[in-house]
Amino acid sequence: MKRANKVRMTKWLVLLGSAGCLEIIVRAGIVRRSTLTPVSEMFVTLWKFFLPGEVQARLLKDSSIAANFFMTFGEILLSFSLAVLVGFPVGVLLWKWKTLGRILNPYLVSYYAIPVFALYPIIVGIFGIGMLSITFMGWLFAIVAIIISTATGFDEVEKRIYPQVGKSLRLSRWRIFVWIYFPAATPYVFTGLKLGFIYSIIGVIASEFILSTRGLGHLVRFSYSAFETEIMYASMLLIVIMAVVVNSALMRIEAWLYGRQAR
Amino acid sequence: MGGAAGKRQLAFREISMIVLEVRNLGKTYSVHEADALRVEALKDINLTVNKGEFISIIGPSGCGKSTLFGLIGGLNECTSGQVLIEGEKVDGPHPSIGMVFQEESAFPWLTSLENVEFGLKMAGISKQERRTRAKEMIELVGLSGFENHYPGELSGGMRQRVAIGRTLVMNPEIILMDEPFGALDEQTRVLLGEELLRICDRIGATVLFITHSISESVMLSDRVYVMSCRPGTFKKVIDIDIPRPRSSSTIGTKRFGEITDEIWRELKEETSKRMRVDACGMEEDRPR
Repeated sequence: MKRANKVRMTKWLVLLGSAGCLEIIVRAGIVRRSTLTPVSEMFVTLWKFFLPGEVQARLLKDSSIAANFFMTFGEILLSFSLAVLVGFPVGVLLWKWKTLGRILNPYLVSYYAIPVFALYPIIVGIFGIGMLSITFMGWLFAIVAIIISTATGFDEVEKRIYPQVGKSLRLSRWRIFVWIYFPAATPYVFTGLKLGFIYSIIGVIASEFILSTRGLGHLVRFSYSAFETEIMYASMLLIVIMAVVVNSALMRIEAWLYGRQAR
Repeated sequence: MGGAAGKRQLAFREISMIVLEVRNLGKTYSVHEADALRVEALKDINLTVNKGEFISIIGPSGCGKSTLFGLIGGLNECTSGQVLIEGEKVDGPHPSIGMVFQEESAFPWLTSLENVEFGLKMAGISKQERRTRAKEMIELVGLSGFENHYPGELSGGMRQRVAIGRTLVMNPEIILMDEPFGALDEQTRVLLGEELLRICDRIGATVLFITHSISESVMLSDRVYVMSCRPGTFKKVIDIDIPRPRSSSTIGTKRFGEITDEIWRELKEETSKRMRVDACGMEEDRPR
Protein backbone atom coordinates (compact mmCIF):
# COMPACT_ATOMS: atom_id res chain seq x y z
CA MET A 1 0.00 0.00 0.00
CA LYS A 2 1.23 3.48 -0.78
CA ARG A 3 2.22 5.74 2.08
CA ALA A 4 -0.44 8.31 1.12
CA ASN A 5 -3.12 5.64 1.30
CA LYS A 6 -1.85 4.43 4.65
CA VAL A 7 -1.99 7.98 6.00
CA ARG A 8 -5.51 8.45 4.69
CA MET A 9 -6.68 5.19 6.18
CA THR A 10 -5.09 5.97 9.53
CA LYS A 11 -6.85 9.34 9.58
CA TRP A 12 -10.20 7.60 9.26
CA LEU A 13 -9.19 4.99 11.84
CA VAL A 14 -8.43 7.76 14.34
CA LEU A 15 -11.90 9.20 13.82
CA LEU A 16 -13.71 5.88 13.92
CA GLY A 17 -11.60 4.68 16.85
CA SER A 18 -12.45 7.75 18.91
CA ALA A 19 -16.14 7.36 18.11
CA GLY A 20 -15.88 3.65 19.00
CA CYS A 21 -14.26 4.43 22.37
CA LEU A 22 -17.02 6.89 23.25
CA GLU A 23 -19.59 4.30 22.24
CA ILE A 24 -17.99 1.60 24.40
CA ILE A 25 -17.47 3.61 27.57
CA VAL A 26 -21.16 4.49 27.62
CA ARG A 27 -22.43 1.05 26.72
CA ALA A 28 -20.09 -0.58 29.25
CA GLY A 29 -21.50 1.70 31.92
CA ILE A 30 -18.22 3.52 32.67
CA VAL A 31 -19.90 6.85 31.93
CA ARG A 32 -23.53 7.47 32.76
CA ARG A 33 -26.04 7.98 29.99
CA SER A 34 -27.11 11.26 31.51
CA THR A 35 -23.59 12.54 30.84
CA LEU A 36 -22.84 11.05 27.44
CA THR A 37 -24.87 9.44 24.67
CA PRO A 38 -23.41 6.60 22.57
CA VAL A 39 -22.31 8.02 19.23
CA SER A 40 -24.59 5.72 17.24
CA GLU A 41 -27.57 7.05 19.18
CA MET A 42 -26.53 10.64 18.46
CA PHE A 43 -26.99 9.88 14.77
CA VAL A 44 -30.31 8.15 15.39
CA THR A 45 -31.60 11.11 17.40
CA LEU A 46 -30.31 13.51 14.79
CA TRP A 47 -32.24 11.56 12.18
CA LYS A 48 -35.37 11.77 14.34
CA PHE A 49 -35.03 15.57 14.37
CA PHE A 50 -36.25 15.49 10.82
CA LEU A 51 -39.13 13.09 11.41
CA PRO A 52 -42.37 14.06 13.05
CA GLY A 53 -42.71 12.24 16.34
CA GLU A 54 -41.82 12.20 19.97
CA VAL A 55 -38.38 13.85 19.74
CA GLN A 56 -39.71 16.77 17.80
CA ALA A 57 -42.70 17.13 20.10
CA ARG A 58 -40.45 17.14 23.16
CA LEU A 59 -38.03 19.71 21.99
CA LEU A 60 -39.08 21.73 19.06
CA LYS A 61 -42.67 22.37 20.00
CA ASP A 62 -44.21 24.33 17.16
CA SER A 63 -41.02 24.89 15.13
CA SER A 64 -39.22 22.35 12.95
CA ILE A 65 -35.54 21.45 13.02
CA ALA A 66 -35.26 22.81 9.52
CA ALA A 67 -36.52 26.18 10.73
CA ASN A 68 -33.92 26.18 13.51
CA PHE A 69 -31.18 25.14 11.15
CA PHE A 70 -32.00 27.73 8.53
CA MET A 71 -32.31 30.38 11.19
CA THR A 72 -28.76 29.68 12.36
CA PHE A 73 -27.36 29.22 8.89
CA GLY A 74 -29.10 32.37 7.69
CA GLU A 75 -27.60 34.38 10.54
CA ILE A 76 -24.18 33.00 9.69
CA LEU A 77 -24.55 33.87 6.02
CA LEU A 78 -25.91 37.33 6.78
CA SER A 79 -23.21 38.19 9.31
CA PHE A 80 -20.52 36.85 6.98
CA SER A 81 -21.82 38.72 3.93
CA LEU A 82 -21.99 41.97 5.86
CA ALA A 83 -18.47 41.34 7.17
CA VAL A 84 -17.22 40.93 3.59
CA LEU A 85 -19.19 43.91 2.37
CA VAL A 86 -17.60 46.16 4.98
CA GLY A 87 -14.32 44.33 5.66
CA PHE A 88 -13.06 44.13 2.08
CA PRO A 89 -13.37 47.87 1.29
CA VAL A 90 -11.90 48.74 4.70
CA GLY A 91 -8.98 46.39 4.00
CA VAL A 92 -8.38 48.03 0.63
CA LEU A 93 -8.59 51.45 2.28
CA LEU A 94 -5.98 50.45 4.89
CA TRP A 95 -3.68 49.26 2.10
CA LYS A 96 -4.22 52.35 -0.05
CA TRP A 97 -3.92 54.75 2.86
CA LYS A 98 -0.82 53.49 4.62
CA THR A 99 -0.93 56.06 7.43
CA LEU A 100 -4.38 54.89 8.45
CA GLY A 101 -3.12 51.32 8.24
CA ARG A 102 -0.23 52.11 10.56
CA ILE A 103 -2.53 53.85 13.05
CA LEU A 104 -5.04 51.01 13.16
CA ASN A 105 -2.53 48.18 13.00
CA PRO A 106 -2.01 47.70 16.79
CA TYR A 107 -5.79 47.55 17.32
CA LEU A 108 -6.28 45.07 14.53
CA VAL A 109 -3.52 42.68 15.57
CA SER A 110 -4.64 42.63 19.21
CA TYR A 111 -8.33 42.38 18.30
CA TYR A 112 -8.65 38.64 18.66
CA ALA A 113 -6.97 38.74 22.06
CA ILE A 114 -10.13 40.40 23.41
CA PRO A 115 -12.95 38.00 24.26
CA VAL A 116 -15.71 39.76 22.36
CA PHE A 117 -18.33 37.56 24.01
CA ALA A 118 -17.55 39.16 27.35
CA LEU A 119 -19.08 42.31 25.92
CA TYR A 120 -22.46 40.73 25.27
CA PRO A 121 -24.36 42.86 27.80
CA ILE A 122 -23.49 45.93 25.75
CA ILE A 123 -24.78 44.27 22.61
CA VAL A 124 -27.99 43.19 24.34
CA GLY A 125 -28.33 46.75 25.58
CA ILE A 126 -28.10 48.12 22.06
CA PHE A 127 -29.79 45.47 19.91
CA GLY A 128 -31.84 43.51 22.41
CA ILE A 129 -32.15 39.73 22.32
CA GLY A 130 -32.67 38.06 18.97
CA MET A 131 -31.50 37.83 15.42
CA LEU A 132 -30.05 41.33 15.21
CA SER A 133 -27.67 40.96 18.13
CA ILE A 134 -26.62 37.48 17.03
CA THR A 135 -25.86 38.62 13.52
CA PHE A 136 -23.96 41.55 14.94
CA MET A 137 -21.83 39.21 17.07
CA GLY A 138 -21.01 37.02 14.07
CA TRP A 139 -20.17 40.13 12.06
CA LEU A 140 -17.99 41.55 14.82
CA PHE A 141 -16.11 38.30 15.09
CA ALA A 142 -15.53 37.82 11.36
CA ILE A 143 -14.80 41.29 10.04
CA VAL A 144 -11.28 41.84 11.36
CA ALA A 145 -9.93 38.63 9.81
CA ILE A 146 -11.24 39.85 6.46
CA ILE A 147 -9.83 43.36 6.89
CA ILE A 148 -6.37 42.06 7.82
CA SER A 149 -6.09 39.52 5.02
CA THR A 150 -7.36 41.97 2.40
CA ALA A 151 -4.82 44.62 3.41
CA THR A 152 -2.00 42.05 3.58
CA GLY A 153 -3.00 40.52 0.25
CA PHE A 154 -2.90 43.82 -1.61
CA ASP A 155 0.38 44.68 0.10
CA GLU A 156 1.86 41.42 -1.16
CA VAL A 157 0.76 42.10 -4.73
CA GLU A 158 2.23 45.59 -4.56
CA LYS A 159 5.64 44.04 -3.85
CA ARG A 160 5.43 41.87 -6.94
CA ILE A 161 6.10 42.98 -10.51
CA TYR A 162 2.49 42.56 -11.74
CA PRO A 163 1.34 46.16 -11.17
CA GLN A 164 4.40 47.37 -13.12
CA VAL A 165 3.29 45.23 -16.06
CA GLY A 166 -0.03 47.07 -15.99
CA LYS A 167 1.75 50.38 -15.80
CA SER A 168 3.97 49.51 -18.77
CA LEU A 169 0.80 48.70 -20.72
CA ARG A 170 -0.39 52.20 -19.80
CA LEU A 171 -3.43 51.05 -17.86
CA SER A 172 -5.20 53.51 -15.59
CA ARG A 173 -4.88 53.00 -11.83
CA TRP A 174 -8.44 51.79 -11.68
CA ARG A 175 -7.87 49.18 -14.39
CA ILE A 176 -4.65 48.04 -12.73
CA PHE A 177 -6.69 47.59 -9.56
CA VAL A 178 -9.51 45.68 -11.22
CA TRP A 179 -7.50 43.56 -13.66
CA ILE A 180 -4.27 43.00 -11.77
CA TYR A 181 -4.49 43.70 -8.03
CA PHE A 182 -7.87 42.08 -7.64
CA PRO A 183 -7.12 38.69 -9.24
CA ALA A 184 -3.56 38.61 -7.89
CA ALA A 185 -4.76 39.20 -4.33
CA THR A 186 -7.62 36.70 -4.55
CA PRO A 187 -5.87 33.78 -2.81
CA TYR A 188 -4.78 35.96 0.11
CA VAL A 189 -8.19 37.54 0.41
CA PHE A 190 -9.85 34.15 0.24
CA THR A 191 -7.85 32.93 3.22
CA GLY A 192 -9.40 35.81 5.13
CA LEU A 193 -12.85 34.93 3.84
CA LYS A 194 -12.40 31.34 4.96
CA LEU A 195 -11.34 32.42 8.45
CA GLY A 196 -14.12 34.99 8.49
CA PHE A 197 -16.74 32.38 7.68
CA ILE A 198 -15.49 30.11 10.45
CA TYR A 199 -15.51 33.04 12.87
CA SER A 200 -19.06 33.85 11.76
CA ILE A 201 -20.10 30.30 12.64
CA ILE A 202 -18.45 30.54 16.05
CA GLY A 203 -19.88 34.01 16.70
CA VAL A 204 -23.42 33.07 15.76
CA ILE A 205 -23.59 29.71 17.54
CA ALA A 206 -21.98 31.03 20.71
CA SER A 207 -24.31 34.03 20.74
CA GLU A 208 -27.32 31.77 20.36
CA PHE A 209 -26.43 30.19 23.69
CA ILE A 210 -27.15 33.47 25.41
CA LEU A 211 -29.03 35.74 23.07
CA SER A 212 -31.63 33.60 21.36
CA THR A 213 -34.81 31.63 21.69
CA ARG A 214 -34.21 29.74 18.46
CA GLY A 215 -31.39 28.25 16.41
CA LEU A 216 -28.91 25.44 16.88
CA GLY A 217 -26.96 27.13 19.64
CA HIS A 218 -30.16 27.69 21.55
CA LEU A 219 -31.10 24.06 20.99
CA VAL A 220 -27.91 22.91 22.69
CA ARG A 221 -28.32 25.18 25.66
CA PHE A 222 -32.01 24.53 26.06
CA SER A 223 -31.68 20.75 25.92
CA TYR A 224 -28.78 20.95 28.35
CA SER A 225 -30.82 22.79 30.94
CA ALA A 226 -33.81 20.50 30.30
CA PHE A 227 -31.63 17.40 30.94
CA GLU A 228 -32.34 16.19 27.38
CA THR A 229 -28.86 14.75 26.94
CA GLU A 230 -29.69 12.81 23.77
CA ILE A 231 -31.09 15.84 22.04
CA MET A 232 -28.20 18.00 23.19
CA TYR A 233 -25.65 15.66 21.68
CA ALA A 234 -27.58 15.32 18.45
CA SER A 235 -27.69 19.12 18.14
CA MET A 236 -23.97 19.33 18.79
CA LEU A 237 -23.39 16.72 16.13
CA LEU A 238 -25.42 18.74 13.66
CA ILE A 239 -23.35 21.85 14.38
CA VAL A 240 -20.09 19.94 14.00
CA ILE A 241 -21.20 18.40 10.71
CA MET A 242 -22.22 21.79 9.36
CA ALA A 243 -18.89 23.36 10.35
CA VAL A 244 -16.83 20.50 8.92
CA VAL A 245 -18.71 20.47 5.60
CA VAL A 246 -18.42 24.24 5.16
CA ASN A 247 -14.76 24.24 6.16
CA SER A 248 -13.72 21.45 3.82
CA ALA A 249 -15.55 23.11 0.93
CA LEU A 250 -13.72 26.38 1.63
CA MET A 251 -10.40 24.59 1.94
CA ARG A 252 -10.90 22.96 -1.41
CA ILE A 253 -11.56 26.30 -3.09
CA GLU A 254 -8.54 27.77 -1.33
CA ALA A 255 -6.26 24.93 -2.41
CA TRP A 256 -7.46 25.39 -5.99
CA LEU A 257 -6.77 29.14 -5.88
CA TYR A 258 -3.28 28.70 -4.43
CA GLY A 259 -2.56 25.80 -6.77
CA ARG A 260 -3.16 28.08 -9.71
CA GLN A 261 -0.92 30.76 -8.24
CA ALA A 262 1.89 28.38 -7.30
CA ARG A 263 5.20 29.22 -8.86
CA MET B 1 29.68 39.30 -44.11
CA GLY B 2 26.65 37.21 -44.71
CA GLY B 3 23.11 36.42 -43.91
CA ALA B 4 19.86 38.16 -44.61
CA ALA B 5 19.82 39.55 -41.12
CA GLY B 6 23.23 41.13 -41.63
CA LYS B 7 21.97 42.86 -44.74
CA ARG B 8 18.91 44.02 -42.92
CA GLN B 9 21.13 45.51 -40.28
CA LEU B 10 23.24 47.34 -42.86
CA ALA B 11 20.23 48.65 -44.68
CA PHE B 12 18.88 50.15 -41.51
CA ARG B 13 22.25 51.60 -40.63
CA GLU B 14 22.28 53.51 -43.88
CA ILE B 15 18.93 55.07 -43.19
CA SER B 16 20.07 55.30 -39.59
CA MET B 17 16.71 56.14 -38.19
CA ILE B 18 17.06 56.90 -34.51
CA VAL B 19 14.15 55.44 -32.58
CA LEU B 20 15.47 55.82 -29.07
CA GLU B 21 17.78 58.44 -27.71
CA VAL B 22 18.92 58.97 -24.15
CA ARG B 23 20.58 62.29 -23.35
CA ASN B 24 22.62 62.99 -20.22
CA LEU B 25 20.25 60.94 -18.16
CA GLY B 26 20.77 60.94 -14.40
CA LYS B 27 18.97 59.64 -11.37
CA THR B 28 19.70 60.58 -7.80
CA TYR B 29 17.60 59.51 -4.86
CA SER B 30 17.65 59.99 -1.13
CA VAL B 31 18.01 56.95 1.03
CA HIS B 32 15.97 58.55 3.81
CA GLU B 33 13.36 61.17 3.14
CA ALA B 34 14.82 64.02 5.17
CA ASP B 35 18.38 62.77 5.12
CA ALA B 36 21.27 64.26 3.25
CA LEU B 37 22.39 60.74 2.34
CA ARG B 38 21.82 60.70 -1.40
CA VAL B 39 22.75 58.04 -3.87
CA GLU B 40 23.65 58.92 -7.40
CA ALA B 41 22.40 55.83 -9.18
CA LEU B 42 22.91 56.99 -12.75
CA LYS B 43 24.94 59.78 -14.27
CA ASP B 44 25.44 61.14 -17.80
CA ILE B 45 23.88 58.22 -19.61
CA ASN B 46 23.97 58.73 -23.37
CA LEU B 47 22.59 56.16 -25.74
CA THR B 48 21.33 56.02 -29.30
CA VAL B 49 19.37 53.14 -30.76
CA ASN B 50 18.64 52.93 -34.49
CA LYS B 51 15.69 51.13 -35.94
CA GLY B 52 16.20 47.38 -36.11
CA GLU B 53 19.25 47.31 -33.85
CA PHE B 54 19.83 44.92 -31.00
CA ILE B 55 21.62 46.80 -28.23
CA SER B 56 22.80 45.32 -24.94
CA ILE B 57 23.67 47.05 -21.72
CA ILE B 58 25.98 45.05 -19.51
CA GLY B 59 27.24 45.77 -16.04
CA PRO B 60 27.87 44.22 -12.66
CA SER B 61 24.81 43.76 -10.47
CA GLY B 62 23.82 46.83 -8.52
CA CYS B 63 25.19 49.32 -11.04
CA GLY B 64 21.80 50.76 -11.89
CA LYS B 65 20.81 48.66 -14.91
CA SER B 66 17.29 48.12 -13.65
CA THR B 67 16.98 51.77 -12.71
CA LEU B 68 17.85 52.69 -16.29
CA PHE B 69 15.30 50.15 -17.52
CA GLY B 70 12.60 51.80 -15.39
CA LEU B 71 13.54 55.26 -16.65
CA ILE B 72 13.52 54.38 -20.35
CA GLY B 73 10.28 52.47 -19.87
CA GLY B 74 8.78 55.56 -18.25
CA LEU B 75 7.91 53.72 -15.03
CA ASN B 76 10.06 56.08 -12.96
CA GLU B 77 11.14 59.67 -13.31
CA CYS B 78 14.70 60.78 -13.93
CA THR B 79 16.32 63.64 -12.04
CA SER B 80 18.26 65.01 -15.00
CA GLY B 81 18.51 64.61 -18.77
CA GLN B 82 15.85 63.10 -20.97
CA VAL B 83 14.68 60.07 -22.91
CA LEU B 84 13.41 60.58 -26.46
CA ILE B 85 11.40 57.99 -28.31
CA GLU B 86 10.98 58.74 -31.99
CA GLY B 87 11.94 62.29 -31.10
CA GLU B 88 9.25 62.54 -28.46
CA LYS B 89 10.14 63.25 -24.84
CA VAL B 90 9.15 60.43 -22.51
CA ASP B 91 7.14 61.29 -19.43
CA GLY B 92 5.46 57.98 -18.75
CA PRO B 93 5.19 54.57 -20.38
CA HIS B 94 5.35 55.17 -24.13
CA PRO B 95 3.03 53.25 -26.50
CA SER B 96 5.97 52.37 -28.77
CA ILE B 97 7.75 50.56 -25.97
CA GLY B 98 7.17 47.02 -24.81
CA MET B 99 8.75 45.83 -21.59
CA VAL B 100 9.84 42.38 -20.45
CA PHE B 101 10.72 42.20 -16.79
CA GLN B 102 13.42 40.40 -14.88
CA GLU B 103 11.00 39.04 -12.29
CA GLU B 104 8.40 36.43 -13.12
CA SER B 105 5.68 38.51 -14.63
CA ALA B 106 3.34 36.06 -16.35
CA PHE B 107 0.03 36.43 -14.52
CA PRO B 108 -0.52 33.20 -12.59
CA TRP B 109 -4.31 33.56 -12.67
CA LEU B 110 -4.46 33.52 -16.48
CA THR B 111 -3.61 30.76 -18.95
CA SER B 112 -0.76 31.25 -21.45
CA LEU B 113 -3.22 32.33 -24.11
CA GLU B 114 -5.09 34.69 -21.78
CA ASN B 115 -1.76 36.14 -20.67
CA VAL B 116 -0.73 36.87 -24.24
CA GLU B 117 -4.18 38.33 -24.93
CA PHE B 118 -4.12 40.55 -21.85
CA GLY B 119 -2.67 43.71 -23.40
CA LEU B 120 -4.88 43.40 -26.49
CA LYS B 121 -7.95 42.99 -24.31
CA MET B 122 -7.02 46.08 -22.33
CA ALA B 123 -6.53 47.97 -25.60
CA GLY B 124 -10.12 47.12 -26.50
CA ILE B 125 -9.34 44.88 -29.45
CA SER B 126 -12.19 42.59 -30.49
CA LYS B 127 -12.22 39.10 -29.10
CA GLN B 128 -11.86 37.49 -32.50
CA GLU B 129 -8.87 39.58 -33.54
CA ARG B 130 -7.04 39.20 -30.27
CA ARG B 131 -7.56 35.44 -30.30
CA THR B 132 -6.01 35.23 -33.78
CA ARG B 133 -3.08 37.47 -32.91
CA ALA B 134 -2.46 35.73 -29.59
CA LYS B 135 -2.48 32.31 -31.24
CA GLU B 136 0.07 33.44 -33.80
CA MET B 137 2.23 34.81 -31.02
CA ILE B 138 1.91 31.61 -28.98
CA GLU B 139 3.26 29.77 -31.98
CA LEU B 140 6.07 32.28 -32.53
CA VAL B 141 7.33 32.00 -28.96
CA GLY B 142 7.04 28.22 -29.10
CA LEU B 143 4.19 27.63 -26.71
CA SER B 144 1.91 25.69 -29.05
CA GLY B 145 0.11 23.02 -27.11
CA PHE B 146 0.41 24.96 -23.86
CA GLU B 147 -2.24 27.62 -24.61
CA ASN B 148 -4.49 26.50 -21.81
CA HIS B 149 -1.82 25.87 -19.19
CA TYR B 150 -1.46 28.17 -16.23
CA PRO B 151 2.04 29.56 -15.55
CA GLY B 152 2.19 27.42 -12.40
CA GLU B 153 2.12 24.37 -14.66
CA LEU B 154 4.97 25.59 -16.88
CA SER B 155 8.76 25.63 -16.46
CA GLY B 156 10.62 28.86 -15.74
CA GLY B 157 11.74 29.19 -19.36
CA MET B 158 8.21 28.72 -20.66
CA ARG B 159 6.82 31.24 -18.20
CA GLN B 160 9.30 33.76 -19.58
CA ARG B 161 8.14 32.91 -23.11
CA VAL B 162 4.61 33.76 -21.99
CA ALA B 163 5.83 37.13 -20.70
CA ILE B 164 7.75 37.81 -23.91
CA GLY B 165 4.73 36.85 -26.01
CA ARG B 166 2.50 39.16 -23.99
CA THR B 167 4.84 42.04 -24.79
CA LEU B 168 5.53 41.23 -28.45
CA VAL B 169 1.86 40.77 -29.35
CA MET B 170 1.38 44.51 -28.84
CA ASN B 171 3.75 45.13 -31.80
CA PRO B 172 6.02 47.53 -29.92
CA GLU B 173 8.54 49.56 -31.93
CA ILE B 174 11.14 49.05 -29.25
CA ILE B 175 11.39 46.09 -26.90
CA LEU B 176 13.01 46.72 -23.55
CA MET B 177 14.23 43.63 -21.76
CA ASP B 178 15.65 43.57 -18.27
CA GLU B 179 17.60 40.33 -17.77
CA PRO B 180 14.67 38.30 -19.05
CA PHE B 181 16.61 35.06 -18.75
CA GLY B 182 18.31 35.95 -15.48
CA ALA B 183 16.51 33.34 -13.43
CA LEU B 184 17.13 30.50 -15.87
CA ASP B 185 19.91 27.95 -16.04
CA GLU B 186 22.74 28.44 -18.54
CA GLN B 187 21.53 25.93 -21.16
CA THR B 188 17.97 27.22 -21.24
CA ARG B 189 19.36 30.71 -21.34
CA VAL B 190 21.47 30.06 -24.45
CA LEU B 191 18.63 28.30 -26.24
CA LEU B 192 16.11 31.01 -25.41
CA GLY B 193 18.61 33.64 -26.53
CA GLU B 194 18.93 31.85 -29.84
CA GLU B 195 15.17 31.81 -30.19
CA LEU B 196 14.90 35.44 -29.25
CA LEU B 197 17.23 36.23 -32.16
CA ARG B 198 15.04 34.22 -34.51
CA ILE B 199 11.89 35.97 -33.29
CA CYS B 200 13.41 39.45 -33.45
CA ASP B 201 14.64 38.75 -36.95
CA ARG B 202 11.18 37.66 -38.00
CA ILE B 203 9.40 40.74 -36.70
CA GLY B 204 12.28 43.14 -37.35
CA ALA B 205 12.30 44.34 -33.77
CA THR B 206 14.47 46.97 -32.17
CA VAL B 207 15.70 45.64 -28.86
CA LEU B 208 17.35 47.16 -25.83
CA PHE B 209 18.56 44.28 -23.74
CA ILE B 210 19.87 44.48 -20.20
CA THR B 211 22.03 41.64 -18.95
CA HIS B 212 24.93 40.69 -16.74
CA SER B 213 25.94 37.79 -18.96
CA ILE B 214 28.85 38.59 -21.26
CA SER B 215 28.32 35.74 -23.71
CA GLU B 216 24.62 36.52 -23.92
CA SER B 217 25.32 40.14 -24.78
CA VAL B 218 27.90 39.23 -27.44
CA MET B 219 25.75 36.58 -29.04
CA LEU B 220 22.67 38.76 -29.29
CA SER B 221 23.82 42.30 -29.92
CA ASP B 222 24.98 44.70 -32.59
CA ARG B 223 26.46 46.92 -29.92
CA VAL B 224 27.21 46.49 -26.23
CA TYR B 225 27.31 49.33 -23.70
CA VAL B 226 29.47 48.47 -20.71
CA MET B 227 28.41 50.13 -17.49
CA SER B 228 30.49 51.27 -14.58
CA CYS B 229 29.30 51.51 -11.01
CA ARG B 230 28.35 54.21 -8.56
CA PRO B 231 27.31 56.29 -10.26
CA GLY B 232 26.25 54.02 -13.08
CA THR B 233 27.42 55.36 -16.42
CA PHE B 234 28.64 53.94 -19.70
CA LYS B 235 32.40 53.50 -19.75
CA LYS B 236 32.73 51.81 -23.10
CA VAL B 237 30.76 50.99 -26.23
CA ILE B 238 31.75 47.90 -28.15
CA ASP B 239 30.55 47.08 -31.66
CA ILE B 240 29.96 43.39 -32.21
CA ASP B 241 31.12 42.68 -35.77
CA ILE B 242 30.27 38.99 -35.76
CA PRO B 243 28.18 38.27 -38.86
CA ARG B 244 24.56 37.24 -38.57
CA PRO B 245 22.71 34.97 -38.41
CA ARG B 246 24.28 33.84 -35.18
CA SER B 247 23.43 30.83 -33.08
CA SER B 248 24.74 29.02 -30.06
CA SER B 249 27.59 27.67 -32.23
CA THR B 250 28.88 31.24 -32.60
CA ILE B 251 30.03 30.93 -28.98
CA GLY B 252 32.90 28.70 -30.08
CA THR B 253 34.40 31.07 -32.67
CA LYS B 254 37.66 32.98 -32.23
CA ARG B 255 36.16 36.43 -32.73
CA PHE B 256 33.53 35.66 -30.10
CA GLY B 257 36.31 34.85 -27.65
CA GLU B 258 38.18 38.07 -28.39
CA ILE B 259 35.17 40.29 -27.87
CA THR B 260 34.13 38.42 -24.76
CA ASP B 261 37.64 38.97 -23.44
CA GLU B 262 37.50 42.67 -24.13
CA ILE B 263 34.21 43.08 -22.30
CA TRP B 264 35.43 40.97 -19.44
CA ARG B 265 38.50 43.20 -19.00
CA GLU B 266 36.26 46.25 -18.75
CA LEU B 267 33.90 44.58 -16.32
CA LYS B 268 36.63 43.06 -14.18
CA GLU B 269 37.91 46.48 -13.29
CA GLU B 270 34.40 47.56 -12.28
CA THR B 271 33.66 44.47 -10.31
CA SER B 272 36.85 44.54 -8.30
CA LYS B 273 36.39 48.25 -7.67
CA ARG B 274 32.90 47.47 -6.46
CA MET B 275 34.11 44.72 -4.17
CA ARG B 276 36.55 47.13 -2.56
CA VAL B 277 33.75 49.65 -2.08
CA ASP B 278 31.57 47.03 -0.48
CA ALA B 279 34.39 46.18 1.88
CA CYS B 280 34.54 49.84 2.97
CA GLY B 281 30.83 49.87 3.77
CA MET B 282 28.54 52.74 2.86
CA GLU B 283 31.18 55.47 2.80
CA GLU B 284 31.36 55.53 -0.97
CA ASP B 285 27.65 56.23 -1.24
CA ARG B 286 27.99 59.62 0.37
CA PRO B 287 28.12 62.59 -1.98
CA ARG B 288 31.62 63.57 -2.86
